[in-house]
Amino acid sequence: MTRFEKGLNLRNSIVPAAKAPWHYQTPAVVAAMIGATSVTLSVAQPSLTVAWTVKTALSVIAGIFFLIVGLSLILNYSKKLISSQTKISLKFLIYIAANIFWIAPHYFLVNVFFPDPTIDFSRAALRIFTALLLFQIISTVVANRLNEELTAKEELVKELVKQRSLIIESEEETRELVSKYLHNTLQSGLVVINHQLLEAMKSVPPATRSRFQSIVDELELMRRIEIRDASRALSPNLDVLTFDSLLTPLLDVYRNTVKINIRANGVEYSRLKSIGLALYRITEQVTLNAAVHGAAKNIEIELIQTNKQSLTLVITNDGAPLNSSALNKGTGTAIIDTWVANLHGSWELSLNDRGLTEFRAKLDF
Amino acid sequence: MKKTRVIYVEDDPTLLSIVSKLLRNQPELEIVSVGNSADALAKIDSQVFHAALLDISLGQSSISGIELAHQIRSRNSDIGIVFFSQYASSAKPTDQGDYYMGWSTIAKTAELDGKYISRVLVDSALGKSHNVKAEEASPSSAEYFRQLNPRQIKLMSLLCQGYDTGKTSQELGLAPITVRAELTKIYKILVPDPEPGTDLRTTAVLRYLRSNPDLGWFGDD
Repeated sequence: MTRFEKGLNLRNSIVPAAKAPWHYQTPAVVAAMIGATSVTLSVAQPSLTVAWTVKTALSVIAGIFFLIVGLSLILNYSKKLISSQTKISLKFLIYIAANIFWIAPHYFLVNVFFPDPTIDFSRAALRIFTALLLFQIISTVVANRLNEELTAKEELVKELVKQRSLIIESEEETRELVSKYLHNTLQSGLVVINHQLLEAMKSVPPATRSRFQSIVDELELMRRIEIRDASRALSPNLDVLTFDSLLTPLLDVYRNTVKINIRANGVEYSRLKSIGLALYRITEQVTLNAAVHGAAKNIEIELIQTNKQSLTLVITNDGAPLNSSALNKGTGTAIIDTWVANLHGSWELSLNDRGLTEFRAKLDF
Repeated sequence: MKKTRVIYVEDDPTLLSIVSKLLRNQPELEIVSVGNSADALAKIDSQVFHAALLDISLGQSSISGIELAHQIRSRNSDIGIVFFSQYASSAKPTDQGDYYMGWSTIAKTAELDGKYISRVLVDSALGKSHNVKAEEASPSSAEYFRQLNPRQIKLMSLLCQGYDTGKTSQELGLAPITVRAELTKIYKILVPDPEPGTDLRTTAVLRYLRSNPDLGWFGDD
């Protein structure tokens, strides 16, 4: 099954790189280290037998383990000092000092716990330790720099998400303002004006009345339908009784092109009113993608209340099957990302068992 | 005859005044009008009403008409609820259970038919529901316009400038009978479903102007 996880993609791509060491495949890393150390030892000390080479390699790895643990402790203690430095050269010096500080205890530990099988062990081990130590110092410095960059990027992503959310909120406020003006002020005003015109027409000759009637009819047509549609297109009416009613404007838009079926059994809309706009906007974008980009003919929208505080919105369509081009991030996915993130949810796009493209969002409210 | 006591809630003061006056002329009704939800609930708590006539969008300082209806019903489960709004269909229940008995919807129109509103209010107070029909789809003005041929467009732009049939025929070099025949075709396109008494020419001109105002007043510039 093809499955594309969506959400804050940039953030998701950064976070794994900053995992702690214990999140990696430890057995594989240790085996590789033992193998690499054995090979190095056999080259450096041809006099050692195979058994002693492996045993010595184990000792060396154990030593490295202590080295890492000890180094981590020192680095933790020196973390504040390091992070407060702005110059990379100073940081590098602190790392070297931390590592040099650890060399002596480490060498002592290895010699105490893993007795030297040959006269040359200490020299060989020291060479390996030193090489690994240098490698570790360099990799730590590089990793630190990388982490700093990743942290900075992560902050930028957070800021971007926040800004995007603010822009959408601001846009929604403006839309709502204009929509309410159209609905409340303009429409009510036109009702009154048309009513007054109708009253005034009672005293004019029939021929003139007929012309006025046509004008009133046209004004009423504009008021009842065109202004209503404009108002709805800007901002949906959230004061509805059911989830179906909330989506009525969407049904109107796609009435002639797509058959939309809505199911929301057992969902009490009055409890969801606070997230009505989010539900509408998410559904609007998914429906738009399915109808316009996927050329879907049938869309099923299902709202499932999973518990008191969470919902699952599932939208399936029979349009063009999901492929990599569906992953192109555009305004639509950005809007979905923002609304889903506002509800601390997640969403994904997949092909379901029936081969239909399925959007599934888990939302909290 | 016992009057039906109605509380009317509408945030538009002009409409509140007009509709209240209209309903006060209905002998079977007794009307109390208020401009917001808080005043409505205060009245409901202190007086007895048989029906509530509610706008849905009651402005920023009020809860919505639908929420108000639920609160009113929680205080008086027998009261008739009538929504009088442009969004009336959004308050139309899909569930036909007991709770929604006497729960009605009326679309706001300029006709403001007092007798009809009164009948719906009285019926709702007795537990009977009236509901608006499904909302109309928006007719596309641009679609009308695309159906006109170039000669009809030229003819319409002259009509929009106030030309009568005679002047139009002279301007276009056509016989008056031909102009009238074209006009008949145009009316069928622009006004496909005229109401009785509709002035076809006025309606056609208005629709033409809405679909393409540039070709109306300024078409020949």
